[in-house]
Amino acid sequence: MVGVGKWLLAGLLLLSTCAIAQQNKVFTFGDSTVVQPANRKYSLTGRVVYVDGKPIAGAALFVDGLKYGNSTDLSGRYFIQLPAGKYRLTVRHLGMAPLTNRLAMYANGVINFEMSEKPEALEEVVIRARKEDDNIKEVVGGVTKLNITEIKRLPAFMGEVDVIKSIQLLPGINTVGEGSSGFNVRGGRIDQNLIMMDGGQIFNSSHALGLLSNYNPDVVEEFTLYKGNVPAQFGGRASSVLDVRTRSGNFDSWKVKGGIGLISSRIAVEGPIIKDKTSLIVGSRFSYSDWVLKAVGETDVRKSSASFYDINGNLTHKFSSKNQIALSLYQGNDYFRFSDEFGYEYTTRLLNFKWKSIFNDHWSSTLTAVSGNYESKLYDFNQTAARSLTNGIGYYQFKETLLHTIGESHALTFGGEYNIYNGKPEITRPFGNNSTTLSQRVEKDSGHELAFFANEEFTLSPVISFTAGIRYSMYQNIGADTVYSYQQGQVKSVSTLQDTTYYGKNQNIQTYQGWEPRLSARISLTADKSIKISYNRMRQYIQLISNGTAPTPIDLWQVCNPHLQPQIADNYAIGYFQNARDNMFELSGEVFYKSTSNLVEYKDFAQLLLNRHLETELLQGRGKSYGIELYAKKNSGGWTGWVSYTFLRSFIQVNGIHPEEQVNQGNWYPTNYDKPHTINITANHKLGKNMRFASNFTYSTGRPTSALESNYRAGSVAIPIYSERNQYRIPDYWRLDVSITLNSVLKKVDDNLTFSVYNLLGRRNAYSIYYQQPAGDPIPQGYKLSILGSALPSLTYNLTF
Amino acid sequence: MIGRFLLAGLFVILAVGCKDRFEFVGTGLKHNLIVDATLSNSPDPQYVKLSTTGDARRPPVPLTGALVWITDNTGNTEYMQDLGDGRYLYRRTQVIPHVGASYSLDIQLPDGKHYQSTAAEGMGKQQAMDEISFEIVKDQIVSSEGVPIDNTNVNIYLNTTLPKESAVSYLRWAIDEVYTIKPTCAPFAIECPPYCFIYQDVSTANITLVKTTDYTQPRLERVLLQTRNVDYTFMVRHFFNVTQYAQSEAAYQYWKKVQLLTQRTGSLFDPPPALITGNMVNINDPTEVVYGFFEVPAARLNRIYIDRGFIPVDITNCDWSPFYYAGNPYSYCTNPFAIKGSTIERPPWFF
Repeated sequence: MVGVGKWLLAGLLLLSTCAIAQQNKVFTFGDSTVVQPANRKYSLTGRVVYVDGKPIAGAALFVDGLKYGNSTDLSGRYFIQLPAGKYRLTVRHLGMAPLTNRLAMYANGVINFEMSEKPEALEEVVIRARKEDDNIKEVVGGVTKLNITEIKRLPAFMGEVDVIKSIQLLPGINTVGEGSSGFNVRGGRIDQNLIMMDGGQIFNSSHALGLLSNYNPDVVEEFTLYKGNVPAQFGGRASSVLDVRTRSGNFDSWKVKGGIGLISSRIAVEGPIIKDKTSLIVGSRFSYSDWVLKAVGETDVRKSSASFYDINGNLTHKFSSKNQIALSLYQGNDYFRFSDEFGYEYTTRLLNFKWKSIFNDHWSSTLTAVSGNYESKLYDFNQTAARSLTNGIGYYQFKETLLHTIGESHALTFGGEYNIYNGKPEITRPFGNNSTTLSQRVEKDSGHELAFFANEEFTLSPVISFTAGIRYSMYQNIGADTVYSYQQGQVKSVSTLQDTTYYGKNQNIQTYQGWEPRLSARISLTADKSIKISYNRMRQYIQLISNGTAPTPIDLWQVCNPHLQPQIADNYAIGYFQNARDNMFELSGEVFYKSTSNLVEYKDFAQLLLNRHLETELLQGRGKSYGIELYAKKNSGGWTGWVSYTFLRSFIQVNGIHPEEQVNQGNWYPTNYDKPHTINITANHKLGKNMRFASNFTYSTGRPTSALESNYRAGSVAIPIYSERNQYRIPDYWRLDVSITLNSVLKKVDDNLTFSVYNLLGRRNAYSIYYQQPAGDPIPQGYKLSILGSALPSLTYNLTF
Repeated sequence: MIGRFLLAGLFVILAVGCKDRFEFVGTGLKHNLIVDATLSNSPDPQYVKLSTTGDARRPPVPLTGALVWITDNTGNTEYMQDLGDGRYLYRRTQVIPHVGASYSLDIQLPDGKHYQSTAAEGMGKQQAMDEISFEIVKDQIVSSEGVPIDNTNVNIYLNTTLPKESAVSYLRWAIDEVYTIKPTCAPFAIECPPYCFIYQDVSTANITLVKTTDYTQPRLERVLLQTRNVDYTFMVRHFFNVTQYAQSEAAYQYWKKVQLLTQRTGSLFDPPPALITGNMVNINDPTEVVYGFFEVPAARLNRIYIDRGFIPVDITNCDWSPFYYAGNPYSYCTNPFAIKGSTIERPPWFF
């Protein structure tokens, strides 16, 4: 009740005295000459918003002298109680210029703060993703929030600031190698990450085959990675959630932002359609790397072509300060052609409608409707075998999330979500007049998923806080479809096919459902030390069918069906968090364990494309992963950055009844992303007034692989004999990147020039080890393949006006 | 296939990739039996080759002293002659390969272990009509130092007319090359060695397989069988032998796996490698791993030759020429340390 009263008072105050704060102003409430009763406290409240009026959640307010502070809630509101007196109040939020004002508190008062983007050239380097002590006080462990300003300070690959590449520098995150799309979280698979853009799922988050991600840094506002405990409002994947938010356009004035690089450029235009009411932002990136290819000596490369583009658009309209709608659009496309031999193209489209309403101080709602589409096409230009192969997936998503807050001690999030997945048919067609290949069409499965969720965050005492969530998900595989059944007790194969059943459109074929509890607790040992414990269960009804070490654009997204059961993962974590020297340093250590059932594996020489009996090639097993994450971060000062170390083991066991349904004779074996040791070090340093230096160093144990153990010949062909799956490792990986950014290159213009070198030492890190028979030699020879065999410099000029 | 495509994509996008020789072998060596038994109706001598697996960087160890015999569906049996080097000569006197018959193979090792083919093997009934052609292609490649180098290749193409019958046929094309060189004779040599004839398997990168029902038209044009870099071996006549095998479905599936395994390019998109076991089994211990495949395909050979007159570049300044200085000139060409796969016996068709 105390909390309710406090917020009612805040509401009344908002209706009375109100001031808009700017930098270095003095606000006086009441009369200092009046004698104040002892212990009398006055309330200061208000809102913190961006210049476009959008609320800033998590902005930190500090009162100097008292070492007291608070942070804003989701609607940007804050509430502070202060004894009578004079103070200095500072408001901070990542990427925003801090606001410092003086207060004379002799009565209740209201101040609204409007924060604008930080002019980078004038600020010291400060890396702080959240309120300074959020890592201690937040209940949920394993959450990483990064702001785009923060990742812009990291050395960029090919000059492109990249969300996914930045994530890979954090503890617990790794990837199987350069040029592989996606990322692995705590020993989970790539398809176990729910990757979102404004709430909509992204099925392929990469450009240029994984060298870049499809998030345009000019339109991304912030992103949150849940790798430990995932709140109940998120589901459908077994490992993590990457929630990327793009921003609304400027409600006040028109701005243009852009960057020019050697192989790609980007531009973003934003401004008000109706001032303070409707804003628009359109951003695009596009590559023009063909001139580089034409300069390469090799004939096949000269005849090749590679390009990508993406477009983001966001139209936001505010009906009032409590009601706004947003329509956002994303389209990304990649095209590649290698000489006269082959090509591929893949496209992601996302249309997103969002309606946010704040009903009152306690209730708010977010309604989301998304239409998503992913299509991939592979071309083979090889004369009589010339063909094209297409596949993909489409989906619709509807989600309603309600938030109920009572003071600072309770926040209840609940709602429902409905997803419809439509697998696009795999179609191969002859390509060109000389082709003699057959047309084929293989229909893919469809399904829908309904989930209800509730997540309550409550503070039991200043020492103990809990987050308790529950999600109930139900999935149905629906027609139209033909389902094959196989002889009981036999290995699934075409030869053991027993029966065929046809299901009509929308007819239920198979239902899977279950509870997904999510629990976490925080115990504060002191103001700057805490322990966090979490457990959660997640169910996954859609999988990426990919038999390679890394996924390809043409890989299938397959929903569950009678033969393919949902993955169920149980995640456990416990962590210790400590801040030091007034939050200048963050230290943490987390231990995690994860077990997963129904992990998808593949039979030897599985034929996954254009296969009407895909289930005959799939196996399902169980997985386990465990590890330790250590993290130390320096948030402010001359040098900033972090050091992270991850110990990770990840295993899988496929132990079917028949030998054909086993891998490595049914024993546990390491997954492709089992990397016991990973170290990442990032460092930023300000060099003078306008220059900044950044670097990062990465080391990881080589990933598991199968090695040649012997060989034999069949006719003239030397055939390698390999070990069991993943019994050896490729050499360890390490890389050093550096960049120097020069701000204010041109006078009176907000610009910067970044020179970066990726893989500065030109180390030939092993991408893979493989074997081929050299001409004239009957013995297969081992080769180490390096994708980045030398230093890769780039130059990018960024401009805002 | 897709893995190769995507890997090339990464290389092109970055243009800074590289490939280095790397000694990386496993240590889990076992000694398993290898049976290499493609016994066709080709006029060339036919052998069953037996060996056991050895170290990853060495060829298999020949296995001698075994008893090997073939049996057809009418009960005829023929024992093969142990040549003492792991080869067992199939003379085709009692059991003669022909279309419509089926065959099985038995092997008894000196230690008494008995191996047998798991299913009867036979010839494919229909063969395609082949025409082989070549094309000289000039392009540029980039050296490991990043310098563009002019490069000349010979591309061997197949044009073929598939069988018209609706029944499925499984076809495989294998290619090898034979060329000759004359060692440079030292001025003081009493007698110079004769020409060496070198049999060389070409790269296994191109295993060409066709399942006829996968194609809408009976004619396949310009199927690239092989790309061979032009070097000193084209100084004199250089033959390419292209053999078409009409095989069983089981043999086709086996070679399909071999194709997948040998065409790995190191891409992360490659499927994981796996063991390929064939159709021979230890009848007393079916769990024992036996490598290799027994097949009896119908063979059809096409041969083309290329000599320096076809090559539009100067190959006289080659960087290698075998130099004979002393010793028995007639054993020079058969010295495996001098020239691999070499013999002084002129093949009857080599002119």
